[in-house]
Amino acid sequence: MDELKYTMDDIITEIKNDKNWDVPDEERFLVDFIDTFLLVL
Amino acid sequence: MPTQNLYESRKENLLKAVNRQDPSAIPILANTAQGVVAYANTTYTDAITSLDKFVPAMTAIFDELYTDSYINMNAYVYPKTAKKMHGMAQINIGPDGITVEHVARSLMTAEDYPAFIANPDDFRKNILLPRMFPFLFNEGLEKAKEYLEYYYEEVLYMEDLNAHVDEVLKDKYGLISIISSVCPLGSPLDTIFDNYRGFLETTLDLRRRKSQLKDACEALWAGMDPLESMEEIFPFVGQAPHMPTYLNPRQFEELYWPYEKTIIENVHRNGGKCIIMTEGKWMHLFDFFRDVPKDSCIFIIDDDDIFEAYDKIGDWQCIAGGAKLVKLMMQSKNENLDYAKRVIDHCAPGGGFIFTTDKAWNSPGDITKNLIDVYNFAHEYGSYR
Repeated sequence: MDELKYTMDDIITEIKNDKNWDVPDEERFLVDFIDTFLLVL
Repeated sequence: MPTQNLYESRKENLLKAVNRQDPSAIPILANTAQGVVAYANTTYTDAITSLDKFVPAMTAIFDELYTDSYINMNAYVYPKTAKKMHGMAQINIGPDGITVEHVARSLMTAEDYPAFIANPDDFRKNILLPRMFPFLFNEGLEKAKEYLEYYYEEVLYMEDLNAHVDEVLKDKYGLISIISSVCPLGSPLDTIFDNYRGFLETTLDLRRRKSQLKDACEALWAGMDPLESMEEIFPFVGQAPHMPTYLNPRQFEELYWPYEKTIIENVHRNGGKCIIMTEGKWMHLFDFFRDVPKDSCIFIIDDDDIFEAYDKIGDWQCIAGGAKLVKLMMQSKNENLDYAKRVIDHCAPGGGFIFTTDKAWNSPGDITKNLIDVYNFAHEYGSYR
């Protein structure tokens, strides 16, 4: 596996702190993200 | 009748039918999926490019085909994101621009079981996603955000398309969405089969790693919402189980039924019902469903003989069927009308029956003149009065 420079939690934290990107429900976003990338993609 | 009154009367009749409370007519269910765009002479890939194209493409068929209700399986493939994410898609739209093609992959190895069992959430986040999409984790946080933002915007866009289709189907056609989009729920074994190990590996695990597979089911179940409480009891809780048809009764009893029974009992206690697409054949499993409350389930019969399925479980759980897509494609109108009539005569007396097709309308070939004729016939023939 390629070297990982950060974790999924770091990415989510970055999103939460980004005032330009309004994610209304971070928990749902994370669940949808994971499910979609495993299921749909 | 005004559309709102039509919607309410159809809903009342549907609920009477699935509770065997003297319905006035057999409820008709359109087993809809993206194949309906063929009726509008377009493709899914073209229709999803705009709201103005998508809504008429997904709803035009109901100008000619009678139904009371439908299954919301509209926009759920994300082609732009799939392309953006380095071609890693498992589910794609085929060359005809409509049919969904599933490329089965095993995302998780047998050696991953201990990490999965220890914590499925951590496994997904910290092992599986980095393995599948390493670029998300090593091109910088700003780049990762860009990927996710692209995906997120597409999800919102597709949800908006679906919401508008639902709105038109309710307001213009008075149709009921029969499955709640917020609570489709599967067993842990289906999740492992669908999302992690794939077909070949899961069926091997049933024999070679049963203990680990069982522990993995328990670990997943611990993090699932088994619907002990529900905010709404209608539309019904939808299930599309892929694994049961491959399980013998002993495997089903050990690895599947404990979770499924709990889900059904919880939904029933809340006042709801589970509508279950019995993908493949379930004749060897229907007896299990005598151990959950009467009429807590609605089975859409797939490859089983619906007459035998009704004789096996139809007195205890609701049955749905009456048209088969292959018959509609391959046999004459009269042969299909005769089949629908025989199913209705056998399965519908007393209620507990919904008219529908055995499978979802996924491909352009599923949308035939016979389909429309048989649905319109079922509406005319299906009156209890």
